[in-house]
Amino acid sequence: MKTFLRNCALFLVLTVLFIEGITAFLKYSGLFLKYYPGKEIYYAIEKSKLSNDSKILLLGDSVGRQLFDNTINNKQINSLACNQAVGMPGQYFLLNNYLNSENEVDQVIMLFNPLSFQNNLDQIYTYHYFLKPFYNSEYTDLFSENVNRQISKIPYHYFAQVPHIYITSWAPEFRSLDKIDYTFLSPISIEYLIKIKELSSKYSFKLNILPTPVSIESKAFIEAIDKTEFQKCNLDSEFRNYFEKIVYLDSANFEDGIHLTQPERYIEEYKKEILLQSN
Amino acid sequence: MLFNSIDFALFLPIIFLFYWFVTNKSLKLQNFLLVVASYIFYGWWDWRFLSLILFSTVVDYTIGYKLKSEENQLKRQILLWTSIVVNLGFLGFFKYYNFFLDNFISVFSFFGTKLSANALNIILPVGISFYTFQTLSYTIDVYKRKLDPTSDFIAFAAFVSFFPQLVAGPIERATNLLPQFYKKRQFDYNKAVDGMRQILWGLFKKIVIADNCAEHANLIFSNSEDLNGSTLFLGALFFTFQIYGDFSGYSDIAIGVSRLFGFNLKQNFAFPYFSRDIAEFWRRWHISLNTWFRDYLYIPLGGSRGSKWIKVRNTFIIFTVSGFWHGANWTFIIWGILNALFFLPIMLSNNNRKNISIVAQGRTFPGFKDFIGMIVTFLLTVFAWVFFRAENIEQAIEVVSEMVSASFFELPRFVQNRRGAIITIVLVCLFVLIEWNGRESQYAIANSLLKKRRIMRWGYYLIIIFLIFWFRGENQDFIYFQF
Repeated sequence: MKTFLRNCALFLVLTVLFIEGITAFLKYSGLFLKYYPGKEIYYAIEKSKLSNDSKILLLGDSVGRQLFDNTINNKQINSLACNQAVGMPGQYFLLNNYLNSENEVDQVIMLFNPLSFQNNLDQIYTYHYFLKPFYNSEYTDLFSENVNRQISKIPYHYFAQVPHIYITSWAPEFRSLDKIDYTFLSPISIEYLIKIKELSSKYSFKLNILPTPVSIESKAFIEAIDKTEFQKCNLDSEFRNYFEKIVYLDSANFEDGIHLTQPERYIEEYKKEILLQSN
Repeated sequence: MLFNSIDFALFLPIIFLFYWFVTNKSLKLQNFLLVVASYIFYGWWDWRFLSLILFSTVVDYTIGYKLKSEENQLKRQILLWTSIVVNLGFLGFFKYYNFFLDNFISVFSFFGTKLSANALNIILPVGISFYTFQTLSYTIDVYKRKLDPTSDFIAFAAFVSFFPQLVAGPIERATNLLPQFYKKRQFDYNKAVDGMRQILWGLFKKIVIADNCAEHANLIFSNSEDLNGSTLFLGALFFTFQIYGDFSGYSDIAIGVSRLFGFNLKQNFAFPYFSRDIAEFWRRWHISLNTWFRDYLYIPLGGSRGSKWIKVRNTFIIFTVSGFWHGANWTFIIWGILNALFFLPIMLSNNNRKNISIVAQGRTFPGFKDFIGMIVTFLLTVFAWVFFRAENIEQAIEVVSEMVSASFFELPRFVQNRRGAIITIVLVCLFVLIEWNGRESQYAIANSLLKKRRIMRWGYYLIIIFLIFWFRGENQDFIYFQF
């Protein structure tokens, strides 16, 4: 029995070392990204640390990324658009990286579906899309109390950086039990939008928040949004024209009610709008 | 509790350590621990149904005990039938009530009488078909005086609820498993290591082969009306390996876990897809169920003795009942009938025991005749699995019609995840090679590299673990839980 237990323990240690060794190699070499769900976030992080001559920076969710792909180098508009699941903290970290990399920027465009602002890091995707890329020493100092509180509710959050979890799409089952008393801006979104606004004052760039096209089926829901939410938190000027600019399209133009079936049809229009605002 | 869950990964070592270090001084205590562990294992899914197992245990224990002292044949028969009616009554209610109700209403509607009855929202207790047959085997064997009834209630309760094989078999005979609860178990290093090895192989079959194949089979069968013949054939192949990986994987884990506790369960799958005819396939597929049907149904009906008509009748009965055992749906019954049709010509020509030995024993490659036999048998089983997998008879017929149409010769159209499908095909090919290489053992990797140095063996196991980790499919329930 002793030999059996000793050999089991030894084999277990070897297995852990073997699996963690290989996965650590894949993690730090970046090789895991080839077929990784959420790789757009890692591209955005990497790109946010590079110097770029473009004076217009674009942050956005996955619909924003459909319109401005972050893997394409666009000299006029530098896109870091990735995924709504990173929440406003994730967008703030990208912007912060970009500004800390000595990039000069005149205008920051935030291109988001209205529903993206509801993210309070309380989604089933938060583990994979927020914790794995950002729950590390590079970013944890930038976490607010609210963010830390939300993270603490997610099971196994402390394992997010373990290589064999990090490089796979595994995430624990998580359903938030938080009471939601907002219709548009989650508390964490407000907190980090204000931080982004502070950066705009500090670095003197213009901040513009634009809506992506929205399905006509969501119109009633969006019209029911309490517009006083952003007034109360001093984001009135940023969202003043946001709702007026929403383009409602027939639901046939969407794959899943959110993502566009033919994003290329709208790219030029958006480019024009962005460049117009920058002039 | 699922074998491939974190819960079980924690549960097993805890019970193992308690079993060998805390309760090892007393056989009664060890058996009691197994009962408690088994009830926790089952109750993890739904504790309410523990009452069913307990009731079944008490009924069969009492009947067995009474059969011991009862000499009057009529009273013995009444006792036997009480056990059969109680056990099959539960099974019939939980598994078949809605099926019979629906068909009853359909038959009356066909003749113009409209009946209305509400189907009940019945939850099928996991594993009810397995433990019901296991307890029935006890009562029948005691009745036939093949087995002395037990007076040890704890040992009997442990036999009925033994957690490794409680919910999906193998269905153990009382004559094999029950006596093992009477004897003190000694820890055997080689047996435990072999058990661990078999658990590893079972996990590979389930997590890598079955779960990956399931993803593609589900995708193809749920879009069957839009797909061409070759894609549907591919879907049937995926399901063929899904069901084998799933069920034989479960059996491997069950047998392996039992070995850790000092028990020997019977082999449940003996490389069935290398069979050279359907008769051989049925000797190698779900052996514990098929021998159960053979001994308690087929032979009492007369088996293959008697006139041709009797042989044909018995064959149809056993295969139809076997199909119906799998589920309350006509698709399973048709699957059983199809297998009877495949089996009949072999039996009527007295060739059903032609292929008893292991194919290509002692050789690397099979002879031409064996190879053709294997391919034909495999294709027949793939064809029959279509009915087993389909949602209903109409879908099965649509799939089969498309499979035998000209579109079979078109290139397969992947619904999505083409890369994943190709990787799964490569993994299945690797799996078939390993199974072929190990077909003379109890399970494919039983003897692999045994004579090599430890570093080689452990390296081999680490590669399997890595494959499980890296290529694991999306977690699916074990198919046979629903039976």
